[in-house]
Amino acid sequence: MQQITTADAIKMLAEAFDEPAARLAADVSRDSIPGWDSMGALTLMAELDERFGIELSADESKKMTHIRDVLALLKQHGALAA
Amino acid sequence: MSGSLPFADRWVLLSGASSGLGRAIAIELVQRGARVVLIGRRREMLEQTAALAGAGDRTDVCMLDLQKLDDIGPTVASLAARLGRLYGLVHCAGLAQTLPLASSKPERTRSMFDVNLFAGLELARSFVRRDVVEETGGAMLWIASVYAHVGAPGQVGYCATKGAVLAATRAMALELAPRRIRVNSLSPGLVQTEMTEASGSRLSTEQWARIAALHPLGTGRPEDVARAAAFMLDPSNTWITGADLAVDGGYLIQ
Repeated sequence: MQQITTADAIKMLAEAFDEPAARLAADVSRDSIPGWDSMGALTLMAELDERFGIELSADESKKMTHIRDVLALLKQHGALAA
Repeated sequence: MSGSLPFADRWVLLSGASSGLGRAIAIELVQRGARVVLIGRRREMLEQTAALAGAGDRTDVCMLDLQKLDDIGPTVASLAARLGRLYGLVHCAGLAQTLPLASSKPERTRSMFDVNLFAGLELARSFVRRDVVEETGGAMLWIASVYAHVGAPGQVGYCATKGAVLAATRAMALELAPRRIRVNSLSPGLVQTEMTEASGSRLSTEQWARIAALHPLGTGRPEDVARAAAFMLDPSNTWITGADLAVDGGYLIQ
């Protein structure tokens, strides 16, 4: 399993949601990120699958409401360095 | 044995025969008197298709990874050397991935082009060789998609591959008409198969339901596509070429 740092994870999310990395932090909510729409969610799902082998269902994706939820998912799968 | 049926023992190459549409097409063609070369990667699945299609002498299992494009030509040549001249080719193998534009990196899109287009072109190139196809002509059928005609969010690469398939079939139809090789395509709508379920696994139940609702006759079954495929390939159908038949429950007429 490839491990990344939190900064790398934020960079990945910034690319997926087309948002400046500086605006993204653990407590930022999905609602405040315009690019975290249905297409942004699909982009994130593709990244997680290809880079970490994490297959996220649409329902699981929907339940993620903050950046911290994505970070927690990465951690849970051993993809986030401590 | 099946000489009186429409295909009269003619051989048809069929890619993507392991499951879904390909499996249904194999069964339908055998029922209509064809002998079918079942091409795919998974032997066990191909053997299941062969068993479902019936008598063992009506099918030939051919393990081939279509992403290894260089292997296709030699494989088709050896099949023809062993089985005799071939009448038909169906390129049914396909790769579908739900990827928004932001995720459509070249390597991801390229893998869909490799299977959906380039592997089919390699099969076609090998099939039309004068020492492979029947001297009196033949028939080729490509499985396209309604997404060759209309767009859909998250389907940028897939739409591109299927649009390319339609354009290529028209060009091949013209090029091969003097040799009496017909080239046609089918554009299926949403058919519940392993591939559509895998490609749509990133979609929510509601998103799936919305796509299904766009089909006035509801979603399709593999057998619906298989019957249309047999019609397009039928040797007595000598005057249809360069055509695309929508098999989509009305999806495209709206």
